[in-house]
Amino acid sequence: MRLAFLAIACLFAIQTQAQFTLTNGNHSLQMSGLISGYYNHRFLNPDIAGNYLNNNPATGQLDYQKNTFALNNLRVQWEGRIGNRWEYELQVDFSRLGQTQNIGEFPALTDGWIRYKGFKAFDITFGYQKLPYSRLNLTPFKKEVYWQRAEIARGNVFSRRDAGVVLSKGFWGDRIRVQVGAFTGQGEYIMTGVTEGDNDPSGQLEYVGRVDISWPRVYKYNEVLDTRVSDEPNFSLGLNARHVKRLRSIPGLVDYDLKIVEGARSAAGFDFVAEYKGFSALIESHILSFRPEGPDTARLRGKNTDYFRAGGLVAQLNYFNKPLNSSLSVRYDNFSPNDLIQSNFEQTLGLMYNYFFTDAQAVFRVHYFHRLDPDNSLLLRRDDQIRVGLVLMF
Amino acid sequence: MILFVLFSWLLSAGIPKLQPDTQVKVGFPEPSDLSFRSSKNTLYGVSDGGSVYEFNLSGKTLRKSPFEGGDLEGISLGPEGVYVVDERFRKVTLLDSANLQEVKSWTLHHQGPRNSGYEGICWDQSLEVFWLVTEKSPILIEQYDRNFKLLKSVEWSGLSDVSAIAEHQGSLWLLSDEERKVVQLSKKDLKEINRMKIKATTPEGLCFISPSRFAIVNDDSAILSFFNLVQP
Repeated sequence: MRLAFLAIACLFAIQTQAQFTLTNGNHSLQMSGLISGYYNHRFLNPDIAGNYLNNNPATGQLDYQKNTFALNNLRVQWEGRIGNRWEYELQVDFSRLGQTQNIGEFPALTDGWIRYKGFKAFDITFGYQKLPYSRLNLTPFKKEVYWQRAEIARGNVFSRRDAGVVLSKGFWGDRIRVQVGAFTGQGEYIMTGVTEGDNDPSGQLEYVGRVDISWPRVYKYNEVLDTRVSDEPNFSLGLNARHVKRLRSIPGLVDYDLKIVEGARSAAGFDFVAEYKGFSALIESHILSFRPEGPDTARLRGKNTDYFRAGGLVAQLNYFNKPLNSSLSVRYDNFSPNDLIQSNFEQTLGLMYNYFFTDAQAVFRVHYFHRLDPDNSLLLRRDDQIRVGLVLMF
Repeated sequence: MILFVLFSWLLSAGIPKLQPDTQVKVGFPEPSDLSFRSSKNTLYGVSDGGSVYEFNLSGKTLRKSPFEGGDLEGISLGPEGVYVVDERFRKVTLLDSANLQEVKSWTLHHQGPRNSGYEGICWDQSLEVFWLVTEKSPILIEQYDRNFKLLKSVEWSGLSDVSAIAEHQGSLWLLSDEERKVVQLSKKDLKEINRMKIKATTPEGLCFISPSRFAIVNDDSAILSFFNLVQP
């Protein structure tokens, strides 16, 4: 299997070209893209009833429907700059075009925004874009080392993108970056038939804020691996928060139904990253506090309280080696969807290997997920699995 | 993980590292290239913000251009004045060295990634050509005549990136930001003659100020470092 993937990778590598940029001296437009796909294999435990066809062990047939090839991304991105003041970006993931209802992590449109940099006080970005919340969210997938973000930050618990406006300002040579934004609060659903482009009946917005502090040099969001093999340590701390209130929940589309809940939801989190000599590490955590209303008060499980919390943590250690063109990463993440239930959190240990081809922007990637609490009946069933595939950027 | 790291370190043989003998801070943000003005013993520099500066070897700014470009990444003194190159718009602009006002410009046609475009420019008096270099994906070393007609373009792969180029005593010198290295190349066939690791954080600009002494400027810290090719 591995040899087959390597053979395919070599074929892709020969045919690939880098991004293209057109310019007339005042307007530059870059077109780039990303294709990624993998084979997914789940290691099903035959002692678990839920692993059988129709959840029925009497059938004698384990349900292997998740053992399959998947086209993860088929993205095309256009990034433009006009003079020194205007920027824009349009990004479409064609692998999602067939999905309109259960959109998973994101719809087909992944970016569509305009940025104006003509004010001294701040830059303003308007349109459908990533929310300035969570470093894991803000890191482009093409720079990541895994096939799937950690549960807390993959877009099932809080939205990663939305339509709105962001004001941003850098200080101290961009080592300090402040971002504040207002969004519809409907998240990715604002771009789908789920909302048909409408806000919640309350008409309220979601407010988001983030501060990054890096030292001694700017720590960019796309620095997951220490590809520079830094001679001196580099650090960054990010603090972020968000708040929204909804009159109408949107259930049944994502795991645990936490994304759009009737009532008020506040979230706060931090992330810390460091890199040195090819090593890099990340710790990121979020706590979400819900004050549910209407049918969502059932989530309080009859307890004498008006709120519950969800949250989780991600810790990741990476090592990049230039002579080997390889990286190795270990990730631990946990997630609790409701703190009113005891022992109610899932934990996963991930092991990731990446080989970076030198004649193209192509990566061979293996990601193994080991579930540390596979038999917790309070949670969604998840099994150990492995994903092996290729990422090609052009 | 531990075995992977140990094996990796065995493959990473070290090379000697040059230490700077003098360091000063320049008076403008995000400097991205240097050019030495020997007649006045000063340096020209460009910033990512789009301005051109002249400053002394102590880092003190002497003047700033009225000209405002875009993402300026390279600067060189040339036959008719000061030449700057804009990475984003692939544009070379000639500035009058008396007042640093724009005289004329040429749009080049490198079609690679927007943020990996032209990173350096230098005038080669002996051949009467300009050398330009792109950052990566791929690294192109290009030769232009004084009217910016392309004479030669060679894909080169000796570094993971290039952040500046200089011509000095018959050789081309390339600077790498990611690898913190200076590489000396033969102008004739672009074969590597020598390479040195340098102590720097984000080296973006390179120029020679004497036969055996060169300066490097760091983008993030705006620190200007002076090195001797022959270390004590």
